[in-house]
Amino acid sequence: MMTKKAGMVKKAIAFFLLVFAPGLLAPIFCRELSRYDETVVLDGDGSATIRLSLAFADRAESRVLIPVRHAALLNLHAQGMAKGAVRQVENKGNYFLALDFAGTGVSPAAIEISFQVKNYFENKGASTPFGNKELGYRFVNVAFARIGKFSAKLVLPAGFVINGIGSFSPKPKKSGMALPYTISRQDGKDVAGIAVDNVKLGDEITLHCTFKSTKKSLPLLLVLIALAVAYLVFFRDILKNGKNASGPQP
Amino acid sequence: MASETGRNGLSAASGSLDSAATDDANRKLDDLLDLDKHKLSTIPDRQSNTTERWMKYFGFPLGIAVFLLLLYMPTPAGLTASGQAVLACFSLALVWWICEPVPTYVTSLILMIALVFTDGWDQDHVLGVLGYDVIWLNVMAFILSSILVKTNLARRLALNLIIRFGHNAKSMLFAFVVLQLCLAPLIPATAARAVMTLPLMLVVAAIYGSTSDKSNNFGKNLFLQNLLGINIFSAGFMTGSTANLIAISLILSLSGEKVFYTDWMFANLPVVIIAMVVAWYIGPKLLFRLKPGEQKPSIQGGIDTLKRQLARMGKISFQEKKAMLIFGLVIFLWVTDRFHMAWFGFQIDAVMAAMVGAVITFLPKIGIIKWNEADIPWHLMLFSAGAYAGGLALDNSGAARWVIGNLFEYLHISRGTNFWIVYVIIIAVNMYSHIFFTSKTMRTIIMMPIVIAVAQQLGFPVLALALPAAFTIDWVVTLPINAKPNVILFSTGQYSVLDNIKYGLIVATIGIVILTFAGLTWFRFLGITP
Repeated sequence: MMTKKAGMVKKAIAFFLLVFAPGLLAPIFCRELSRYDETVVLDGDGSATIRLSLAFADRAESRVLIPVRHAALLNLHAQGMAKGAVRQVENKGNYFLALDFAGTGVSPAAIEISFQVKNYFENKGASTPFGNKELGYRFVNVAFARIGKFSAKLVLPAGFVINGIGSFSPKPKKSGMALPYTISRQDGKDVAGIAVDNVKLGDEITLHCTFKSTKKSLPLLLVLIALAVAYLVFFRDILKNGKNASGPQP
Repeated sequence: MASETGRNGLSAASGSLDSAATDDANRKLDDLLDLDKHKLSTIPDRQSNTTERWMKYFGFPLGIAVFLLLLYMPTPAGLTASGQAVLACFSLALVWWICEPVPTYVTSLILMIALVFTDGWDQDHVLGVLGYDVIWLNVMAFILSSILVKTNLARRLALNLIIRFGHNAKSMLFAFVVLQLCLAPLIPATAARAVMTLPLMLVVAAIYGSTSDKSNNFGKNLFLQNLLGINIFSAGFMTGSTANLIAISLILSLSGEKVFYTDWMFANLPVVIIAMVVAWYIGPKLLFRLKPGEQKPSIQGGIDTLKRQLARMGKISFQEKKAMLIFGLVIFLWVTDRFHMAWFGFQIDAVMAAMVGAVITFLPKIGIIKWNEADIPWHLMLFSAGAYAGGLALDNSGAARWVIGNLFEYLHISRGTNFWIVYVIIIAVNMYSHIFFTSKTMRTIIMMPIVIAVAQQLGFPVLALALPAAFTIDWVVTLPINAKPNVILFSTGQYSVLDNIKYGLIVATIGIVILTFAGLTWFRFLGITP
């Protein structure tokens, strides 16, 4: 039987690992990036093509780990690197892309990686009322000592529009400072983006939004047109007498 | 002897006729000043003129047409679908508030429903607006106003005011302008100033023949000029509103330029005084012309009758003293808000101060009125809640930010553009942007960084554009939803949304002209503009 004291010790160890693990891992994984750009191009079937573009601030390490959220990556490809030099690895439930430069002998200044993910979002039916689908992005920097400029973009499938931004982080430190997220359109597709400068080890960047089809309700359109016409027909008496037919005014 | 008797008889008859006329005048005055008969909580049945009838008739389909157009057009780049829905709903409500095909409070309820049904804002947030501080302040304001009316203190103060300044309508209106100027530096909360002066306005309007069920142009001028005065005079002082202070802190943090209290006051106080004098002049002269009957108190016997009425009221009663004490306590709390933390260890804001007064008002033995005697226009609380929900949804969905951002982009300001063109555009956009906002703070937070960024990008001194832009923050004068005092004063039913838009837009435009002229002369002299 586990004593109360043992339970406390376990909790303390778990807390220690949770809080200090990124710091302990830092010397192993640590490299500094001057730029990290991630573009998630979503497809109507729920899958996504993800493109990463990284620029290194130094060339010291021969092995780099990049945190990824997804377990199964398809068509993994890194520009200018041999096929075996890029692979996905798992470390205690966390997934990483491992880039091994040892074979090439040279650590590049920048690298482009692309891969595909199935079921990036739930494409069947709406996940919220009003036909909205939910879309979330999360990046926790557990690999790099510092990222100079971080940006991520979520490109919606054609025929969909961003309904609203639900939550995001980091929040502006002061009121009046610009929000980190943007909503734009590229090649006819809606894009939700987030950009943050100076991302430190352990920092978290999130962007949650909802999106919906661009299709509009035809019955609502017809009902409102009918209502407007009916008003013009049945409320003609307003023009004749001074009394307000629609009720008293405040 | 016979002739003597005849003369005496004649003089007795004429004396009794005079006395009958005086009694009649007193009765009429009593009737006019009996605000129980013109309760704000009772919705009067109003007759519409021909223009209003046409507006009602076509306003309904026009509102629906605007709504459908905005909702069914392809979502513009940079705007969310919910922002598009909010813009459509708000535009529908705006058309209907102006044209009034349905009562304004019904339009507000429709706006709330439309926001939820079109996914513009979620139900919890929309319904939650009824609990916002502005609604509470409204309720408390009407309770406090009721005690002044019930105890006749409002009547006594108003009679004194009119006997001193009210020989004609224009001097009466001017007295209120001066009153608002004096209150502005003392009480930063604009809503508190509106609550304080509301009972006086009601009684003075009644003496000039304007009540909620039968308003006239004097009433429109009085209430709208007070609306202008309460808001615009706040711009004369750096501490006139929280938004002014936020603007100053944004200028400091984003550009490093520090603005002092006196810098602000010397620069902008003359501007707002000139603006209000112009507003006071054009109101009764051009916008809501006073008919001959509205030029003087609509009381038979004029000021003499009012003097007699005041004399008839006798000395200040115990109930009036109690009302003075309660109202005085609330005002004291409003005026001393910056010391609360040091005195009590907590902050009492304007709403809580009014609530303290309202609680005392209802206390058994100590209080003055019972619940049934409080004249609270609940239909206007619903109007305010709906209108606020629309305004907040504009902020929340990013639609307001999108409109402003696109406006600047559309105007194609770039390097090489003449400073004065940029100056006028920035002043105009900042001034008119208040139409889309219910919160000065939110507007400041959105607008000021844009203005500072524009100045920095174009290589102009930041202060030359940002400070005059900050001077426009308190000009929230066009719609009843633009600020708390506007909601409170609109609740009196003395003017329509269209009246407010007319006066507000014209004065805002005059403000742009005065600020531009000041930029070329006074601000340049002070070293603000190049």
